[in-house]
Order: sequence, then structure tokens, then C-alpha cells
Amino acid sequence: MRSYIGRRLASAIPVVLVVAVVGFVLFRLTPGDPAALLAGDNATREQIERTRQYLGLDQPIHVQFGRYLSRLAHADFGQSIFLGRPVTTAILERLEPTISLAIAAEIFAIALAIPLGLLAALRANTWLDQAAMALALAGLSIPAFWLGLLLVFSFGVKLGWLPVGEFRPLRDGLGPFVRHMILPAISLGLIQMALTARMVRSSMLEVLREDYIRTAHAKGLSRRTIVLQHALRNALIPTITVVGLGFGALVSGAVVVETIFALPGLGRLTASALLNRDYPLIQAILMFVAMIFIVMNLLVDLAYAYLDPRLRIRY
Amino acid sequence: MSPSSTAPSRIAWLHVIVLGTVLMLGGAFPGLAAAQPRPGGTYEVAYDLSPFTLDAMADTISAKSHIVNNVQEALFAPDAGLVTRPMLVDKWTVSPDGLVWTFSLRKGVLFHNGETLKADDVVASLRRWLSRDGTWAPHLKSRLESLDRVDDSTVKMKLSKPFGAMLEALSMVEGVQPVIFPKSVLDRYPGEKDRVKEQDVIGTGPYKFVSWERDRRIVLERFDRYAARKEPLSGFAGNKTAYFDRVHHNFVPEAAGRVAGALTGRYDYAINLPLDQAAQIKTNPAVTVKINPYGGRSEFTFNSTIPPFDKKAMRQAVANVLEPEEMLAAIAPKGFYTLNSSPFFPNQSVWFSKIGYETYITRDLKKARELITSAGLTPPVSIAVISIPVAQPGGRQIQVAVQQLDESKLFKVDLQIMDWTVMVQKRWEKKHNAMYNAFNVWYQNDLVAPTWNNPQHPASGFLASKTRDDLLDRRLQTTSASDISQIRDDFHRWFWDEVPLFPFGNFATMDTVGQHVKGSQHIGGPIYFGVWFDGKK
Amino acid sequence: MRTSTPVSASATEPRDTVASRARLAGGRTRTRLARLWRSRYTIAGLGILTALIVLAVFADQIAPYGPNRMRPTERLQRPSATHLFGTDDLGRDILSRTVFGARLTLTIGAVVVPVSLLLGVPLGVAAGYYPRLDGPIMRIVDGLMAFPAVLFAITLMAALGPSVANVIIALSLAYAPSAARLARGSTLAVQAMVYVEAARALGARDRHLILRHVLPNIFAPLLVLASFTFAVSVLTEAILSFLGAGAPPSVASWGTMVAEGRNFIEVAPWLMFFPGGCIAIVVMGLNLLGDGLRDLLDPRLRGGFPGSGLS
Repeated sequence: MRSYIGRRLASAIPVVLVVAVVGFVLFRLTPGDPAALLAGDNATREQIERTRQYLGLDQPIHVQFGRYLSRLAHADFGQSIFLGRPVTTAILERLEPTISLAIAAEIFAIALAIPLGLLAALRANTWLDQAAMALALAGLSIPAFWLGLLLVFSFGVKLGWLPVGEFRPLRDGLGPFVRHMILPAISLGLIQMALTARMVRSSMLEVLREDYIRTAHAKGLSRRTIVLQHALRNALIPTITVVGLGFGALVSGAVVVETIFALPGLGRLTASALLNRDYPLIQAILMFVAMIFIVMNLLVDLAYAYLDPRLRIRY
Repeated sequence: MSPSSTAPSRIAWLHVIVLGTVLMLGGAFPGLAAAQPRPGGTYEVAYDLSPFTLDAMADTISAKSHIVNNVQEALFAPDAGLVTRPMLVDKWTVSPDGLVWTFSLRKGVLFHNGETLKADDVVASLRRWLSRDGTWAPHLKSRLESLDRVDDSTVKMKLSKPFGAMLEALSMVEGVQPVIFPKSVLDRYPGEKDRVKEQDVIGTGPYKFVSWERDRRIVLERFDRYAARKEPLSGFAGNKTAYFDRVHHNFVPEAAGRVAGALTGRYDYAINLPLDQAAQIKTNPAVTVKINPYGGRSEFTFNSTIPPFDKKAMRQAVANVLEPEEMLAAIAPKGFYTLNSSPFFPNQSVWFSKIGYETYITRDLKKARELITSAGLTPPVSIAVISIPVAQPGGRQIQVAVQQLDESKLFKVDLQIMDWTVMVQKRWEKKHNAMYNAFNVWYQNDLVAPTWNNPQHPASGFLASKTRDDLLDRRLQTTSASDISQIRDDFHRWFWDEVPLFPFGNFATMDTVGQHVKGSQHIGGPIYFGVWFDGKK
Repeated sequence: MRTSTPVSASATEPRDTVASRARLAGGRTRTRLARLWRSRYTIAGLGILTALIVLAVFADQIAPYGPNRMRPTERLQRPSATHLFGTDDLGRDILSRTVFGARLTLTIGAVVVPVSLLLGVPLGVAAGYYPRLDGPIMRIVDGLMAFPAVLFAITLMAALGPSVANVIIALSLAYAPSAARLARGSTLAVQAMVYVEAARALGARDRHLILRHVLPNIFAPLLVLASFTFAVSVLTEAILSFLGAGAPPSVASWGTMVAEGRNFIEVAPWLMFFPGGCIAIVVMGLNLLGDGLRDLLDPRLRGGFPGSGLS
């Protein structure tokens, strides 16, 4: 098992490096001049040139690349052009809001999806099922940014119940954290909720048809025990895959939700880094995201193996 | 009527009168007290964009200047009427031939680090400012023979030619600013590319820099040993005493966040709010709306290096097609914009003129067509216009302009939208025919300063013109008011003949302050000195 | 022609249990009726798609004004008789822009779907058919899929610049891996069938096998995938336009309209309400269509597409 994990992680490194190189080359070869932006739009040509030298962008590209690689070897990921600080610091600072948002959204999604999917499966083909699945379908179709705006409009502006546009970290208290997180979490989590609910329903239906369920019935176990202790556990296995892969949707959805709710997270940092051509930051973020995904995929596979003993032999 | 029955009633009336007077005065006193500034409190500000550096001479970003202007000072400063006043200078003299400028510094002015302002500091700061290639640098450098200290509080500049805009140049509150640092600080940043770190942003200003939490806020603290001038405060000049203990300059890039924070009282001062919400915000008693009618100007700038706008007739043709009111209406509701043909703002009394207004306001498609044919071209003429994304106000104005040009059937426009970072690169390539640009009043405090009068810069359309060069030269040679009026009129005549760019007009900006904030000025950019809480906060 | 062999790519293998066999054998009439009843959603989905096509094709006739007709003096008007959906801050009629937005939506979907299939399916079939290609191809595919489509598209758009063509390129590249995965899974399943082995033993050529056996069997799941890809590309294009990394502003796009409406949410909420609602309706319709097609073509696929990574 350990060697499997080790091998997976080791094979991740070339991927991350490729991402870094691609990120490096792609942006420097495309139009966009961060030096001019940094100098200000009323800057003279000489000022812009001076700023370019300050950033080291006046060097030929292979020199820049060489410098980049040598710094990378010392685990120095460079300085953000527009934030004026090391990119690692910039990323770490923005991590908390994004992770809080992602986890809150995921909790919302799962907390709603499992009961919903369960209910729909147990009352399959009744109006309850239809209603639950209609809800799921709506959740799947409503764009997160539109939902976010609607929530901002109704709860934030019109009703004024919930604050908009700020992030309160958990250490400032659970109350403020929840109040500031609720709308963004719902906006981001709804799609995930819908996908998961549908998945729970369909895999529950599959499981309930299984022979061992009929056996349990025959043994005289209560409906509740059957559902909760036997069926649900097995139904949740494929759900894990959806949850794990849905994490990707969460991260990309975070870009939009963070923009709308003005949360100072990684999503917004990415959007502004791309817009401003903050090369060192873009490269670092791309590598970081790639790494996260590889780890996420690994965790999903491992969780799968843990939950379904039949799969353990592969590892 | 017995004496005993009247006496009590008279005394009673006396009591009533005295009590009434006391109550009235008592009611008035707090009002009177409020008119007197009192120190104390933390000023919570909602500001929009983050600066990239706080080094006053490193870039031309407004967000940087807005902090610098509260923390550092230059030799001169503009007042609210845009007239230049002395700040760190006590007296100055110019030799009759205009070639020698002698500045006497005020005595007893302290820096935040405890050092006293001396001539060495001024010389070092001005030298650094000149080396940083701001808009004034080439003009002054080409004339400067020497810049030296005479004694601890006197600085002398010797020029080879007169420099009529000396005061304007030394009072810039935007762009590359000639603020005075301690020499001991600048010695630590000798390199041409060095940027002063924020902890070293040391000045003589009423507030001092405390900390910068990136993307969150900048914290300033009152400088208790600030040497204030005696004249009344006006703009950036006069008595700039700071009253707040601290200022929290928070970064809230979303307008909705600034509005919400202002209305809930989280912020005492919210800058640059959407004009469309003015009506709603005005009804809220918690805040006072402050409008600066001349917050900004935007324009349609040609590229005069390539056809078709290398020909004056073609530029004039566009001037006859564009209808500026629609452009302004695209970003501001009625009442929040001003039709103005001059590239200067109406409150720039020295440089503003109405010459050319007729051309600006008139839409004459027949004349435009004639001009196009006289230039040897056949309508519709194809042109490429570059612009920033439509989500930003300037992008919307350009869209309207493009529609006007297309609907006139005289032009066929290819509108290329690109991010700022691409646009600032592309406009130097000189492949576009026209582009969008915008300015505020502080950046163009004189005829020579603005990039739209610098033929090397895209903002001027790269228009080379001997007439204009002569006008700028004339301006630099003189300090006489009558000369300057003449130059102003000549310039405006030239401007509407050559039409290097088409100014859309002026639009307002809107701030709010809490009802307990007194003394705030809203002339463009946050001013934290001279502002106080009236005691009920 | 539907074969009775499984062609699903879902993670859970369908079980041939007593219960399901009994269900199939017994109430055939009930199954048919149930299918018809369930297909009412599919019909709704089809109806929405048709409406989209009609709006897109006949936009010029249906819309009362041009999509870019600016009248700044008429800005931010509430919905009224002259402007049924109101006007935006440049005085453009929102109803007209919404109708023309359908054109962009249809264009995106109609091009991204076939292009992503054309890119992905050959790769997937090759990977499934030739074991030596399987490793390298799937590593690339997995790598691409690891990256969320939106992030991938934003990065590409930031590099390429805003244009409809670039959006199409970005989205096609983003969704090709799903098609590849699906094609590979189906190919592997078909390959395992005995009659294919037999055919090969008899000397049938690869191309013949692929054309006559593999492709017809993956047609059904690909059709379902097409429907979902359409839905998700509509959503992603909206997100890209919302972030300013999508269609240029001269093109009416629902996502751009929501982004523009965002600035006026307090004074003019109708700006973002209508285009956003359209996105939701179209995506919902396409999802319904996809669900319905899947139910119709192979109920055992109801387990969802966890391996398709449509996120």
C-alpha cells in the first residue's frame, strides 16, 4: 500500500513540472504586459522600461526560464508582480477562505443530498421522488453565479438578513463565520448537492435490488436497520467518487462565487492573476492546483479501496 | 391685586426666561462645539483599488498617491481651487532672468523618524524624482544645470532656460511625485530600480504609515509632532492637522461592499460609489452624500501615425459625427455629468476655456462626409478601435461611440476589446486607429504635464505638431498670467483644429461619509487630514 | 438495433438479478406506460431545445430591437410596454439581447459537442482497442480531466483572448477527455464480447470490427453524453462570459448580461434576472433530455456518469 502511494505521488512530480513549464511559456508568449500595468497607465515609455527591468522581464526568455528553474530548485517560487510578496505567501493567505468555502459547500451538499436521495429512492416513482429529483435537476441547472446573485439580491439587499461581501474566519467566532458563509456555500454547493442526490438515489435503487437485502428482509430486520446499516453504506461507495470528482467543480465554481461574494480566496486570486499577467503567481497557482488534484484523486481511490474490500487486492 | 400674588408670577416668568435661555444655549453649545475639530477616533475607510507600491516615485497609480498624500509632502501643494501654495517651502525667489530659483525651507519641520527637514533631504529627494522619468522630468532635466544645498534650509536650482511651470511640477499630487524623503532613507535605496519599502515611507505629513496588510488594509497613525502651517486648510495646502488617532484604509474592491458598509455604518467614509444608486443612498440618514462634479474625464484618442487619422480632416470628421451627451449618459445618470469641450476641467480656472465648444457639441454628418472626401477617402472608412472590457465604464462609452460612428454610415468600426494589461501594451504598437482613455484633474495640473500633450505617448495620439511644441515651450518660458491666458486660448484653438483626441466630457464621482464626520473634502482622492468626528461617534 | 449486451461505462456493474429479470418479464405494459410517463420530461427537454433553436434561427424576426442598439438616455428602465424586459445601462433592450443570446448559446453547443466528440472518440477507441496505446493516451486524458474545465478554459482564454472561436476551442478541448473516456470504456466492453473474439479469430480486420461492432454500440451512450456536454458547455460559456473571459461584448451572451447586470443589482435587478433564468431553463431542458435519452436507450445507465467527469 505504501509503495503504491509513493509511486502515485512520485508520478505526480513530472506532471506538476510539465504544468509549470506550460504555464511559463504560455503566458510569456501571449499578449499582455504586466510591466505597463504595474507602472500605471500614465507612465512614460521610459518608466515602463524601468519597471520591466525591475521585474526582470527585459531578459531573453531562455534567460528568464533558466533563472526560474534555478530558483525552483531552491524551492523559491518567486515574487508576485502585483502583490509584491512571495507567491507562496500570497497563496497561503488566500487558502483559508477558499477551503472554508469548499468545505462548507460540501457539507451543505452532502447534508442535503443524502436524505434527499435516500427519500427519493425509498419512495421511488411517487410524487415525493419526482419532487426530490426535480429539485435536484433544478439545482444542477441553475448557474452558480446567477444563484449567488439572486441570493445576494434577496437575502442581502432586499431583506438585509445576511451580510454580503466579507469573509469572517472561523477563529473570529462560529456565529459570524456561518452568517457570512451561508449564502456562498449554498451558491457553490447546490450543483454538487444535486449531483450527489441523484447518485445516492440511483445507487440506493441498485443496492435495494440486491439479493442480500432480500435476505436481510427475510431475516426479519427492521426496514430502518436495513436501509441505514446495510444499504446506505454500500450505496455510498460510488457516491464517494462523485464527491471526490465534484471537488474539481467546487474549486472552479469557487472562482465565480468568490467574485460575487467578494471573498478573498484562491479563486479570485487566480482570476486576477490571469487578468493581470502576474506570471510567477499564475505558474505557482497552476502547479498548486495540479498537485491538489492529483492528491484528491489519490484520496478518492484510497477511500474507495478502504470502503470496498473487494478492491483492496489491486493495491 | 396684592403684591404677594404678583411677585411669585414675575419670578416665575424670570425663571422661565432664564431656564429657556439656558436650554436654548445648551442646545446650541453642542452645535458650536461640533464646529470645533476635536482629536480622537479611528477613521474606517472603504477604498477600492490596492496600490502596487507606496514608493511615491515608482509608478503613476492613483491608489499609491492617495496614501502618499496623507503621509508625505512636497515643497508645494495645490489648494482646493487648484492654485499652487507653498508647503515645505517658507519663501522662494526667482532671479529676474528666471534662471535661478532659491527655496527657503520652513524651520522645525520633523520627519516621522524624528529627523529635522534639511536641504540635503530636499536635494536627494528631487534628484531621485528627476531620475524616475515622470512627465515633468524630461522638461526640467533638459534645463537643469545644478541643484544644490546652499545651507541647511536653502536649496538653489540653476537652469539654462526658464521653467515657468516650476511650482506646478513641484506640487504634483499624482503620478511620479516629488515628495521629500529623509536623505538617510534614500541612501538605502541607491539603485535606479529600487523601490522604497513601505516601512521606509517616511515623510513630513500629518499621518504616518503603520502597516500594510495586503488586500486587506493600510493602517495610518496620527503624527503628533506634525508641523502644521497656519493658513486655513484648502485642498492639499494650508493647515493639514490630523485629528483621527488612526485611519484604517480598507480595500473593498466591490462597489456593493462599499455601499453596504457605508449604509450599515461599518465605514465612516466610502469612496467612489455607483452613481446610479445616488437617489437611493441620499434617502439614508446615516450617511451624507458628497459629490465631486469633476471626478474624471474620458476621451476617444486617435493614433495619428497611421492612416486614416494621420490626416487632420479625418479627425475633424469624427468630431463632427460624435455626439458627446450620449457618451456621458452611458455611464452616469443626468446631473452627474458635464458637457465640456476642453481637455481641462471647468474648475481649472487657469487652463479651462470654452473655445471649440461649437465643434464639440455639433453633429454635422454632411460636413463630416465632405471632410472625408476632402481627405481622399470614401465612406465608410474602416477603422480599428481598441478598448478595455465593457464591464468598466470606459468600455461602455466606447461602445456608444462606436455605435454612433457605425450608424453614421461614414465609418465601419472593428472594436477590439482587451484587458488593460494587453491594451497598455498594444497602444504602444501604433497599430490601432483609436482608443479609449481617461484622466482626473490632478494628473493634468498644467499644460505641459499631461501625457495627452506628450507626442511620445499614446495618450496624445502620437500627434507631432510644431504649433503645440511651440505652445509648450512658450508656456515653460513664462510665469506671467496674461501670457498664460494667451497660451491657453491659442492651445484650445489648436486643439479643436487638430483634434488629437475627442474629449467626451466630465463625469462626477460620489463618496459618502457618516453623519458624524466633519470637515471632509471630496476633490478626488481621500483626504484624511482636517477631518474629525463631531463627538457623537 | 439494440443488442442485449451491456455497453454501460458506469462504475457499478449492472447485476442480472432475479428481481430485475422478473421485472422485465412480467409487467411489459406497465413498463411501456411508465416509460411514456417518464418520457414526458424528455419531451419537455426536447421542447426547450426546439425553442432554443427557433429563437436562435429566427432571432432577427422575433426580437423587437437589435441586440446592440444603444440609447443611453433610455438606460435602466423597468420592464414596460416598449421594453418588455426593461433596458440595461446603455439603453439596450433586454428582451432582444436575450433572444440573440440564444443564438450564441446554440452556436456554442452545436459546435462544441461534435468537435469534442470528434477529438475524443477516436482517441478513446484507439486506447480501448490497442492496449499499447491505452497507457499513454489515458494518462494524457486523465491529466486533462484532472483539471476542472472552467479553470482550464479560463487559462486558455486568458492566453488566447476573447472571441467566440476561442471559447469553442477551449470548451471542445475541455470536454474531449470525457468523450475519450466513454469511448474507451465502451470499446473495452465490446472487445470482451465473445463474438468479437470469434470474428477476429476468423480473420476480420480491425477497421471492420471497429466500424461494424464498436461504433454502433457506443452510439447510445455517446448520444446521452452529447446532451450533457451541450448542457455543461452552455453553463461553462456563461461562467466564462460572466468572468469576462468569454465572448466579446459585441456578441450578446447570457453570461455577459448577468455580469453586466451584477453592477446594477440594487437599482435594476431585471438586468440579470432574465438572462440567468434562460441559462437555467436551457440547461435544465438539456439535462432532462439527457436523462430521458439515457432512460430510453439503456435503463441500466441510470447510475450516472461518474467516470465521465462532467464537472
